Amino acid sequence: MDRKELIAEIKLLNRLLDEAHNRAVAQFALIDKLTAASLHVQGLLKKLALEGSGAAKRRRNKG
Amino acid sequence: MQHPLQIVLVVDDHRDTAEMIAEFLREVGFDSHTANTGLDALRIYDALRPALIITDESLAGTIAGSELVRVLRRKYGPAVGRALFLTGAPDTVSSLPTDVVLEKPVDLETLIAAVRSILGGPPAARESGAAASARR
Repeated sequence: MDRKELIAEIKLLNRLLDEAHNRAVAQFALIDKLTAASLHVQGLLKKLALEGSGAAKRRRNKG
Repeated sequence: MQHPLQIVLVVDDHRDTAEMIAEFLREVGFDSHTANTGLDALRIYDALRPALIITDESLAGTIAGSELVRVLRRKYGPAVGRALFLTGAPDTVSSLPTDVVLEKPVDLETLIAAVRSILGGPPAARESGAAASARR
């Protein structure tokens, strides 16, 4: 492999590494958003369950 | 005699995630605080000396979650204790064998169970009290 081919190869590898890095960053950003959304939903479900059990208790006390 | 609440520091560059995790931990009886960068976390650790650090591995800025914990262990020694890492790529975290690594997106019950198993509490009775006060 001569110098010219070597430089071309290094450029190609650098481009591939950059692309992989960018994809990983984008993927982590997505996972972060997914995590926030998932926690939000889990929090809402917890609140719903609490409200549901409170309402059931109130109904029992009335009856 | 009432025991003081155990302090937990939640470090995540995604502000909403850090706040939500901290809020859930408060509801089950921990005194939780948040930091959004490694440097913030170092400052807050210094002031509060939390019993547990929950950190995202990929933090915005110059310092990753595992690096943050390494720096703290160098500075404060074994007092830093175990850490709990949250990450989208669990294989990439370099932690001690005693640390806990959970994959994002994390299940809330799994997270709280992990925190309880690390800190040994707080008792379940406190959770119902916290839940009751949250309803009020």
